[in-house]
Amino acid sequence: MYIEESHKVLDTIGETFHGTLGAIDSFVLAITAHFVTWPFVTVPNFSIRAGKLREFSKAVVVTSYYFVDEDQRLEWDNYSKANDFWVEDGIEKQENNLVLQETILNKNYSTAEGGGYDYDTPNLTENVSFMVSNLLVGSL
Amino acid sequence: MIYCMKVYTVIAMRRKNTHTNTPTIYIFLSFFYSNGFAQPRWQQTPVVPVGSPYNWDGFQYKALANAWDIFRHHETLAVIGYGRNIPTSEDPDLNVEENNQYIALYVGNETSHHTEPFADIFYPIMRNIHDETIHDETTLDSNSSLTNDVVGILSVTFRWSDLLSKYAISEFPEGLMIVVENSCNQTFTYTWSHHRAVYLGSGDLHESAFNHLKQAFSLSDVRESDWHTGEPPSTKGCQYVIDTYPSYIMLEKYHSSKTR
Repeated sequence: MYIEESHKVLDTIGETFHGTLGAIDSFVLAITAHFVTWPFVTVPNFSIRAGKLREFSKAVVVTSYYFVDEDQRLEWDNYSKANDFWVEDGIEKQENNLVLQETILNKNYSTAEGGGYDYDTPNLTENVSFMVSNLLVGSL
Repeated sequence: MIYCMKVYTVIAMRRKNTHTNTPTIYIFLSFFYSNGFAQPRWQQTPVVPVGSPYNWDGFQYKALANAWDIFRHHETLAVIGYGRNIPTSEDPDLNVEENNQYIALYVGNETSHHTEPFADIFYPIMRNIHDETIHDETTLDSNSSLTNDVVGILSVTFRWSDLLSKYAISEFPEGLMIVVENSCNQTFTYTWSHHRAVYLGSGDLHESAFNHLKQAFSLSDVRESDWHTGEPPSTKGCQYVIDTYPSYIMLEKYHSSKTR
């Protein structure tokens, strides 16, 4: 009985991890397929696209780091200042979504010990398909 | 390797917080590097209204620097970092309190959730080699995709309790003990309660009476599964094993359900 249940738990954790890595891979592939001017790349609507990845993987934060070589540093400095629109853009979208988020939180937040979300969505395959299709729809 | 960054410009921009009616400060940092290169943080979501949104040098974060070394010199697989708020021999300079404050920016600090173990999945961003060499097929040999032409890293920061609970099925047994341990000398324990993994604390906190019933699963075993997409986890860096044990609570619930 216990052995069977623990196998079920561990299998589920493995599937979760597997699905999360697959979603990250889809996200990264979508980016690399569209850009070649590294590191001078700013993904439009990053907050929306990475936000979907974050939601799917129940992550806290998604961050990109780019490699900048010595001979690129001044250019990068100028580039990053000229292209930091994503900061305001992200904040604006977060604020616009606040009402929606609060509604979702109120609906799903569990009063169980320790708090937390209601994770009653065990269909991993469906969620991965949804995630991948959302990430790849539309051009960057 | 010396990961050196010095701030030389600080531009503060005030923005009215529309919800609390108090001003919030965003600080934009630029950097220079004495070691010739850097890995500046660029885009992020969500954007928190405090601190530097970008250009903080990722090489200052040892787990990310380690992942970079693995990607560049060994293999381009997913790397799971060590727990960022648990002391580890891997990073003697790890500042637990600072990292708890960092995660609190995202999850709040009203509860103890920000002190629960959190870590990163690092994923390499590879230059799309076909875009650059497809017009010159002589340079596109069979090893072209393995040239480790890493241009960046995507970091997905997660709390272990969220990962463990993500697709948890409500039939998971109440009281099940879940011990997470890694090769970076970190161990922490959860118990299954009310349909989710609840953090108990640092260390292996399972009840020793159930030692013989340990079941284990290594995250690197995912390599053996039917991999439909994505890179499997690297065998370098921190390796994670998840153990389960029954508990007296679980035993009690099992007996009470049988006598019903």
